[in-house]
Amino acid sequence: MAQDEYARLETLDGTPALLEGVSASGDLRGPLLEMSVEQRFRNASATNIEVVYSFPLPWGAVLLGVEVVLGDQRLTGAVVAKRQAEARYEEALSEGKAAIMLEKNADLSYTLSLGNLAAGEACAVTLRYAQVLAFGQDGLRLSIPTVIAPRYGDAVIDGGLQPHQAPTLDPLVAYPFDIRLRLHGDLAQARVASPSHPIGVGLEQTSEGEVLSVSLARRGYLDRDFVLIVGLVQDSLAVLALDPVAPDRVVALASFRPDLGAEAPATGVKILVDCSGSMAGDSMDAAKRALQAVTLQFQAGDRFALSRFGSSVEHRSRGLWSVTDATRTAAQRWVAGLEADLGGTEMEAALVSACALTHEGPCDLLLVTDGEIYGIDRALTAARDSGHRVFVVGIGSSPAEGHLRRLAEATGGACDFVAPGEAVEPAVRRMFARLRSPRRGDLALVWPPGVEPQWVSPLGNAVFAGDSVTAFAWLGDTPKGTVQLVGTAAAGAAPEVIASANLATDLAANLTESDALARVAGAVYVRSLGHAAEAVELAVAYQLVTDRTNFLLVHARAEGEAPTDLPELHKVAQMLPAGWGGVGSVLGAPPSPDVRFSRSAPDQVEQPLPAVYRRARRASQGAPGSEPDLDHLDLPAFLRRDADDLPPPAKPHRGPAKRDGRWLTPFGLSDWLRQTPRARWPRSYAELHRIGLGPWVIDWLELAIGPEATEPLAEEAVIASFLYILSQPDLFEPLTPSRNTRAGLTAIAARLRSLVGSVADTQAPGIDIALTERLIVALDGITAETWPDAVYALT
Amino acid sequence: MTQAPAPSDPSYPLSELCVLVDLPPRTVRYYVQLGLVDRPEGETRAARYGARHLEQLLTIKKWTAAGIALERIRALLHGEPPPVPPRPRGLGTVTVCSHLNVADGVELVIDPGGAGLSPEQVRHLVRGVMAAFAATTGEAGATTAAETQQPQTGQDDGTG
Repeated sequence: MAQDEYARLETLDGTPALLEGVSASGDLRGPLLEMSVEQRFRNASATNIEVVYSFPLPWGAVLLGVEVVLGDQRLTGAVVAKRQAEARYEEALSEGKAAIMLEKNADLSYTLSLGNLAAGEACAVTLRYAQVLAFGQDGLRLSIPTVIAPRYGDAVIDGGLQPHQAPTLDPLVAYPFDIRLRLHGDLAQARVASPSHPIGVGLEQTSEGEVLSVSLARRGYLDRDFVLIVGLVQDSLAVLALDPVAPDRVVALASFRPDLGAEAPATGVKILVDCSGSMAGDSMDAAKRALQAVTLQFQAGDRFALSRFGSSVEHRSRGLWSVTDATRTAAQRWVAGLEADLGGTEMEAALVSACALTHEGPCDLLLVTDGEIYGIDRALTAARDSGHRVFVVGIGSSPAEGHLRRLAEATGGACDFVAPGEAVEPAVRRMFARLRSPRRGDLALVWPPGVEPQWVSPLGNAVFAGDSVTAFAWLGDTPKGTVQLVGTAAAGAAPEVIASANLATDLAANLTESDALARVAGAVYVRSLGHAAEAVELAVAYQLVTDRTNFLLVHARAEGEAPTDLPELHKVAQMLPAGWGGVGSVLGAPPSPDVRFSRSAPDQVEQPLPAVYRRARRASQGAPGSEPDLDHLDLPAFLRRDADDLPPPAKPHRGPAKRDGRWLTPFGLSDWLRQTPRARWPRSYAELHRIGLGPWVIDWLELAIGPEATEPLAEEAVIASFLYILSQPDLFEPLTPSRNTRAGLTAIAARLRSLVGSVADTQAPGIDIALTERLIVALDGITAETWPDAVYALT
Repeated sequence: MTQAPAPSDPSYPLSELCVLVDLPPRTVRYYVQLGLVDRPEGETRAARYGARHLEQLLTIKKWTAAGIALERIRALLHGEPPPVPPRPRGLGTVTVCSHLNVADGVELVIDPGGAGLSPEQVRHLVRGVMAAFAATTGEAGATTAAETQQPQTGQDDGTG
């Protein structure tokens, strides 16, 4: 497959992209992070070029400024309306001027266009951004993305990007990355750790007091998020700042740590796991560890369902399971057997399908994924329409954080992330604390008497115990007193105070020096305006790069130096994220350049592997074919397997229902039993598996029926009874044309009762009558193609 | 299209061309830079586009809307045969692939029908991959290991 054609959109002369490296440095003061990121480019070719580089910024980051050093000249530009910026950029290029434009893309990434970089010229672009961080129950998890991972779908059609903004990937490039962070104030005393990079830390004495300095211990690359865990719980606080646009305005940032009381109501949760190709390797490993931790979080009274998705979606049960030993064990087995073998990432369809599983009472969705899709907007709409809250555990060394946070935010859920090699238990524990957290609606701020804010930022509709809630407000004057966060426990109930923060009385001590806070608040305000015309004016006034404003810098060249021809395009390809899709491992081997994509073009849509091939591979592990006496009786593999990609059954009724996938249907088993001497019938669960019986049937027998058997040889007795029923002509005949099977089951039961008391019965040797009757009741509803509901419900 | 001027007479400035094809100027320029669309007649502000450019852009627009990658479109525009959709795999089709073990955890999968390699070429390929693997891991004596560990060509996966 010529799939790497998609990956490498090379320049016309084939020279590589020219990003020399990225250095970041930042200061963290309370909830405010101010970062400065320097990107260094050099044109080593002999012609003038245009560099195009798409890169991510953290979720909620507000771009405050861009400084450019072109050659040895320091240049500054300005933020202007998008259309104007685009037109002027084109004009500058056609006139041979140097131009630099920075735009915000539809998927919240950014694209830098650096036009007419002359031969041999170097350029350093420094971006300044600020971000208000949300502290969680255990502290802060700071994540700085450095790479855009390959995503499923079409960047232009699904992702709404312009063609030049679409990130490309080159598995062979490597860009050095360095980062240095300084933690001020109380944070300097916190414990810090990085699951993504080896770091060095040191305390420094500065005029501001002690500062904790964090830097990389080894050279890093732009191939994974930089993650820093800061073990400090932040109490509610309020910070004030002056506004650069309106000097008479005071900007307040309130960060609350809500206390909702300790309640642990039973919860209903549908678990949906991404098993697409991009999850292979490290990500799947982390997802499995996370899900094993999830199964330990279930308590009596909880209900849950398990589903996995890729190009298609597969549900483990038909409804929600209640928590029993049987369901918990079945869940753990299901998790242990997960593989990233479902191809693409059709998240929208999977969300719709999972939400459609029947449930009683409120139910939430727990999504485990790397979020690497372009069509997030459709998935988001589907999730919101379903009425389920979506809680996300983001997996991988560079998950699509922005996508997943938007998904959680839009549905009133929450998001947590796990990097490869990071302990998953804390994230899962936090997630369940949120799932069980009492709900509060109608969130609002209550200000001290006399304070009337001109504007308060939207508070959203989700609040969880211990997770910080932040809000901005514009005030006419410096306030005094306490600002409170209130919410209602139920519709119409009286508002209760959830958290409160002190507005310090001393203005001078409290006002932060930089304008970052005020401009972040301005960005939140601009976003809340939506499509109003005022939004563009304000974004320009605050000099904010938004979806409708771009940063632009035009630099006239001296006479005679201006090139007259169109610059060559050099698109800076993304590095392959560490451990992506199982290509290499963050924890182990070096990466290999062989990459496959979920989808590149319609004529290259990844073909599912031929069924026979896959079955054969499976067989080599489980080795049923190596059992000589079963070999010739075993159903041909390709008749048994029936996923979407599979040939239809060769014989009528042998085709299992879609749900049953590659496994034996009731008819298939019944038919096999009729043809097979009793001596060769399976006697253990392992043997049942070997003849191709689905794991849900075996789990049901072992976990739901098995414990009820009283005999010492429970396993053998259960299997003997089960196979006895399935082998009876009374059942086989109605199964054939898919008629009503109840009559057949009743007939078997009636004959069984007539046998009670007779010793050494030849028809049903060694059959436990009571157990068989129990099974007969449970099997009510069986058809030729599907097992009855009791099997899936483990009852 | 009947009013379009002859190809030899390019007359549209970029702005007019963009209106005609309903694409932003940046995208048109991007396609030119990628070699999907021919360069205009004349440079910078005097650049003029004609019916040929218009036709190329409309073709690209049609194909991108169908989800075809730009790299593929470039190949098509440069004379590769038009996209014949691969024959859908017939139901029940059996594909037999060879799995060549290069090292522990490294496997080379060859579909002989698709690859069209002669046995000599396969051997050559596998030796090359093994050598590259040895060079990458820096394993001493890797060559001898590669000699003795004969690839299991013809290992049949298509049971059933």
